[in-house]
Amino acid sequence: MIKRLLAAACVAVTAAFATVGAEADELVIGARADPAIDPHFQWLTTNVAYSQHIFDPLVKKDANAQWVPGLAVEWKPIDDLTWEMSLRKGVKFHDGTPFTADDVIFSFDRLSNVPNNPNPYGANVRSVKNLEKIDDHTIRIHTTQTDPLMLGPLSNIFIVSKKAAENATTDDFRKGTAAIGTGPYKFVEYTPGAELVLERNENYWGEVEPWSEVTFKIIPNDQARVAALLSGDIDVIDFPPPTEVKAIENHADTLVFKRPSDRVIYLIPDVGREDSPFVTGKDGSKIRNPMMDRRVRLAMSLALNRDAIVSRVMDGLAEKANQFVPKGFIGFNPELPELEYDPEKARALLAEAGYPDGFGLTIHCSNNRYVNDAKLCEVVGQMLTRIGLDMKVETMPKNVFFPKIATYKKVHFSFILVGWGNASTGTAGPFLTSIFHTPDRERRMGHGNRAHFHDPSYDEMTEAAVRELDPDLREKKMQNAMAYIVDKMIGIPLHTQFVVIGTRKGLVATPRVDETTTAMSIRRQD
Amino acid sequence: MTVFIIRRLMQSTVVMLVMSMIVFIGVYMIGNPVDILINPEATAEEIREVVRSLGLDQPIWYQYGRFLYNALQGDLGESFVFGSPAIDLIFQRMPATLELASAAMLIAVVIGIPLGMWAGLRPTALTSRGIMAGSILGFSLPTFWIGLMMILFFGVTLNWLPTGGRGETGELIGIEFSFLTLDGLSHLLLPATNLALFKLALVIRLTRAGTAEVIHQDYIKFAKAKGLSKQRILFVHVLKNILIPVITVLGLEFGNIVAFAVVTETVFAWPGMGKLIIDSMEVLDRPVIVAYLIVVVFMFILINLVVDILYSVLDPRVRLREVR
Repeated sequence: MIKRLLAAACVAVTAAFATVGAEADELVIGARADPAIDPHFQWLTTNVAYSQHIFDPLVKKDANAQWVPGLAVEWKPIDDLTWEMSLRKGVKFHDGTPFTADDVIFSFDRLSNVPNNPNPYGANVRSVKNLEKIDDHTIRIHTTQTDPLMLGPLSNIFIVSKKAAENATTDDFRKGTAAIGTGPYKFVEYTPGAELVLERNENYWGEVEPWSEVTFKIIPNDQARVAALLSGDIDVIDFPPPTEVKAIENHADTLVFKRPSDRVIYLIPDVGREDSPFVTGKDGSKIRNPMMDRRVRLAMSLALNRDAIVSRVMDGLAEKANQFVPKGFIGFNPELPELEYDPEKARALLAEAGYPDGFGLTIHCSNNRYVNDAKLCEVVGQMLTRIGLDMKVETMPKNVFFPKIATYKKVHFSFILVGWGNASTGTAGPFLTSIFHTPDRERRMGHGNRAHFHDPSYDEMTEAAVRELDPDLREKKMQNAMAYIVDKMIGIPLHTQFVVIGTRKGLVATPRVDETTTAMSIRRQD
Repeated sequence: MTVFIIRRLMQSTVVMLVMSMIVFIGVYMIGNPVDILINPEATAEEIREVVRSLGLDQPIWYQYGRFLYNALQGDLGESFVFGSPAIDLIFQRMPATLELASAAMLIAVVIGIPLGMWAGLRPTALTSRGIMAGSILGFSLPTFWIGLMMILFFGVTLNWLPTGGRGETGELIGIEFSFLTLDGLSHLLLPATNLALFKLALVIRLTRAGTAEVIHQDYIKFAKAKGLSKQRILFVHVLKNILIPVITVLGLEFGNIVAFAVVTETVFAWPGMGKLIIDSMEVLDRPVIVAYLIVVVFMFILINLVVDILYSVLDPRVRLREVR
């Protein structure tokens, strides 16, 4: 304490004499979760964020999730099933060994060979058959099917040094011996549950970072993270709880940076099962599932006051959605109208469909997965009650909720609230093919089809869209599929939540749509 | 006494076995960790592949049997989330928690016993009433709320103390401790006080009740009549006799703090093992949950044993033997 008081006094004295404070080049970031360090263990957004510091992928993504060159400088299709990539020359790993095609091939091989891994990165490159080395700086990627969108998820595949990581375990990465990459920062030290320390890579192939040392303090508790920022203990935090954003904004020494993320929150009605488990008549009897009727789904959408949801439930930290990808993503259809709020019309549509008195329905949600998910669930329940539905609301922790909606087993619910992030490819492709396509093991599509929606003409549209090699045509085709699915109202879009970063004054943060917070997106104010 | 200790340890094995079985089955019944950990784009084949690689597709009795077999060889399994042995994860974080808990206990005892004795000796004095009223606050206000208020006041408003983390650590017998550096101590002060408040209130009340009771006993009167000094009466005859209930409760409470300091650890971002168990439960990281609870049960058994031994030291009437 005395030390701190002294330090404070020193700072005050220095500040009084120096007009521009010579600030240290050190950055302290308060983060939510521990890093895996091993870039091929546990595919999570938080791990991808950490990996971006120490390692580089072949293709990087900018803040808007659009593709930019990483360790690959250019790429082109040779035929429908082959891509040729030229690798960046003169790049060195942190230990001084030069980066070559062998490291790329080794890294891709390692993806599926990390033991005990509950969420392998291999799923990012599921259409990749094999890699072929042409020379030290050229590779060819052979795919099992035409899949131009494959380039997007490559940004999640980080290249490790073959020399350092051969035979290395995840534990070796955590200790640092194998944590050797080409990235803008070098690994210094990791204390589990406490902090990860990185230092600047002076020989980085790209722009050398302004921070000589970056420390990630691991503070999972939201309130504690905010307090640490407000007190000046740390410089940057991500994911402040929505209720605290005002406090950061109003504080004299801190700033808030925000933007819409890649994640659209939406509702999924069961549109395919005649006998849906949580649908009943008003009297509690079994009835034929009314949500199979498009008019009922339209009525449900019309009952939702999205403006109120954004301003009251989300505290203004969200944007209304009228489709399943946010603006700026490929596949966003600018011609789609806003989804209106009109309870009168909703009641009329319900009556027209033969349910003038409504019906009974339970909405199920997680309560610790998305921002305000439990509150959203209640509000949606209330809004639907107003048009005459007999709503029950059930929320549960994510570890109970998600196993119950696993499509490879059985979807236990009739009406759920979920979210989908679109950053992996920067396009609507994966959403369109996995959420509404008819389940198809062979083509690996429809594995997230919780609506039980089956429509051959839609299947055809989406497949054509994701196979299209021409970028402009691809975009057009995705937009058409988007319009088709929104018109049918198979899912009911609600909003896009914001990515929020809090910093101390004097820093500028550029939040990324993919919700990763990195030292690279923090700069000093000019 | 040796027989007593050996018996106790053998009983504890049975308890740990039963507990591990209950937890194992309980976590198994909630669901499959892969459903939570795997990304939403995963296909059914990919999920099946992962489930198989983690051995989660086997029947529960087989999984448990394999766990037991490995456990007997000292391997409690690898965390699904961290990929490291579960037991390593726990032991890595244990020193931080033990340090925090010991500091809290120290605060509770050093402040609580004198205050409690004071209040017991002068039950009607204004100071005593103040102490007792304060102790009510101590155990009725929720820990997390006090923690947040302390952070806001001492950390954010006054900016005297850091809001979280362990700070700089010093090394003692190969383990990192915060109390060895000034910076570490400043980090330790708030969370330890926060954690101590409840125990402090408890110690004050126990000590006061004990003192009030003992002070009127015949042997105290006799000691006074014998002309013993006031100090000797207080610090030997009174203190020794009121310590038995205090030690019983503190023993159990110490176990509690170590095992479930999670609230304080979360609020103050203290990298201890309390946070580990909560994080692990969120994602059904079964190896860590089971290993953690086994460690905790073992710790409780050990603490109880120490408490029993302390009884016999403090009170010669107590003999350690089996109850028949």
